[in-house]
Amino acid sequence: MKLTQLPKGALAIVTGLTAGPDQESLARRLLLMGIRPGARIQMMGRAPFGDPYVVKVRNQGFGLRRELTELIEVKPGD
Amino acid sequence: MTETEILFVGLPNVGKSSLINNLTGSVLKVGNWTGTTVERRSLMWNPSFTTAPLSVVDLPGSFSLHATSPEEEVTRNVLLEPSDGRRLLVNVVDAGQLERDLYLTLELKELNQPMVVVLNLMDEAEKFGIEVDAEKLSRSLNLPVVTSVAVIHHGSDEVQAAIEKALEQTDWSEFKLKTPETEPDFSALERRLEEVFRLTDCVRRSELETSTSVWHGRWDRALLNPILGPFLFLLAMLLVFRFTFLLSDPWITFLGTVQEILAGWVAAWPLPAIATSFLGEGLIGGLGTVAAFAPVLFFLYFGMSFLERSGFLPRIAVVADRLLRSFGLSGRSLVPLLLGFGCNVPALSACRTLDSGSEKIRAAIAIPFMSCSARLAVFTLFAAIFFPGREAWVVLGLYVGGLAVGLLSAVLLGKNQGHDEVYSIVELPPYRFPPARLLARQAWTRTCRFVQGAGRLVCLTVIVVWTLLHIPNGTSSDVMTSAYGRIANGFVPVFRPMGVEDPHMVGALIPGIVAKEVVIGSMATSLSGAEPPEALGFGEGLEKLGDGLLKAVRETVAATVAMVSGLNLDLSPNEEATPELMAALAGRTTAAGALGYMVFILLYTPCVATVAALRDLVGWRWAGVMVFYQLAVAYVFGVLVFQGARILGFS
Repeated sequence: MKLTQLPKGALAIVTGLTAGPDQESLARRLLLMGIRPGARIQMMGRAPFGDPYVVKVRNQGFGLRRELTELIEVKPGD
Repeated sequence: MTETEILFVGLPNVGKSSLINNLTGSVLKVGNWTGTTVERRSLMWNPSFTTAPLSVVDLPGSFSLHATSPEEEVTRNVLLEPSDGRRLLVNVVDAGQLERDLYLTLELKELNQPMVVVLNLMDEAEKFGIEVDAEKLSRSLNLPVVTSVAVIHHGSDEVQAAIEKALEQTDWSEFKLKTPETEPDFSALERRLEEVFRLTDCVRRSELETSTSVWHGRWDRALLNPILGPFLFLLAMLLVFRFTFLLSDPWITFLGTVQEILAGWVAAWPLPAIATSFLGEGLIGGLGTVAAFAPVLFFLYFGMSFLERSGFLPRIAVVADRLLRSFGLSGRSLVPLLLGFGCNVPALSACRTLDSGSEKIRAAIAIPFMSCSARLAVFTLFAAIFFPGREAWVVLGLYVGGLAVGLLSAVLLGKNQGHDEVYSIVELPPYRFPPARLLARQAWTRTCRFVQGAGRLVCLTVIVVWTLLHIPNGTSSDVMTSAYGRIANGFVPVFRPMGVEDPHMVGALIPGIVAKEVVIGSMATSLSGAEPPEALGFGEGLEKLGDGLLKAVRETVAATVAMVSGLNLDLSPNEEATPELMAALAGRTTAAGALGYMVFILLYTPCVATVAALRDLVGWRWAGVMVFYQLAVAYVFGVLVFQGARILGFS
């Protein structure tokens, strides 16, 4: 499922990145920031106006806009 | 002897600058905000262990040597440029984020350069329940590894010792720079990532998912709350402003006293009147105008540094992102925009950390329209004269108007400057409580940089205005026959459609280009003539200086107490707005004309200091565009508002 579909507070494992424009450099950036296949990711919620999404990977929080969050594929569960 | 360079490399926001500050005792800008260092900066360091000074280079934070941003490109280029001298890399690593940070460490290691690894933020890692075995990491990497907590100076000696040892024991001939593959290939990336995981598993003693972790706190839940979040941010910004104006006010008064005393001493010298006037009003007046900026800037920078270093700033960016996207901006522009209400200068310098060039340009277009505190002084005066009882509404309207014009201009002018970065990622660092001493040091450096940078331009413009006032009469007793008065009179027909026909009001717009702070003072001068500075004896001056200083300290303390005990935002006109001035201005235009005039002041050409800040941010071309664009916009809106108000019957 898409990361955007993950309910608030839920944990998931990152499984991949859907192809988007400029995917290579985007994938690289996400990888280096720790958002990589196999990483545990938690949905912390959305900003007050519905966007961006706030997620946590290990102890690092990130604010990701909807366009990017949609591209991240996850598998729910611990 | 060849030069020895020490290059500090690491990810963004891991404390490179803090560490350098501790080692060298200098002040580099630090922030709890990704991308504080956007260009290569170097300084000389004279440590006790060597006689030859070392060149310490602070490189912008990078995730990898395969650059994806301009800052990373700077780092990459510096690291890969061939050098004749000796080079030592100091790789600063966030101990709590090893699986993110060690990737760069491996890349750096492949460059085959002498290198020391510093595990920083050890305290924070511990709070997350992470313990790192530095010795094991050192063995695995085959590199020296030391630990530190840079922000509290912990471990600086160990870092220095490690650098000393590395410099002494290195056989420099062994290290030939190896250039990495230019085309990034995924297999190398995966190989390094696997190595990173192996390393982290092996050196991390324990990792507990602690629910007390700094990030996971109640704070973030409150901030992401749709109602509480925006409220908390508004409150935080309000406090920053409150803090700034309460604390800077006594010091502005004090600096005014200093200016008076200096002018008084000059007046006591047996010099021709014109020379006394030039020194006292032109030169000292110019320096005084520059100095008057300093207290506001210092406290605003202090508040901004607090937001930066505490970790609030990126959270504000997230909360506000959706709102600002409609204007081609991102959430990161919110704080700069709001700072603009205090002073446009720090607002523009806060834009330096914005991600994309197009957003920088759009923010730079919007910010000069934010009504700064200097403009507020003019509004409160005119609102008190022409709209008694409705001051607050008039001022509020002007603020909202400025914000609207600024954001719309950003959309219109910035449309062709490229799209915003849809895939931008905002990192949310843990909350950190910054020590006041560091904030003060940082605010002081930034303020000094302003005084040195824009100061000359402001001072020069004051001298030009002084000269205009003294041609051809030689004194400024009769302003209207001077070159200044003639220029003002010449412009009167231009301002007639705006309902402003008074040469004194038109004339005050000229020095307003230097600094909006001087608009009221200039009106007072041209209405009643300048009072020559009173001659002061040396002892008398010193006494006055002491009194002024005491008063400023006393008022600062009182203001601090008042700030803690309660919020009361008052809109009382400042001291310059004497009853005489208010009476003299009362009949000079209509209520509609006053409204047009205020709108013009709100929107017209930014002050010289702001122009200088614009130039630093987006270059001369855009700074020039803004000067003329704002003049045009101000004129159009001034006329429209006057005509509209007249039709509505405000006369």
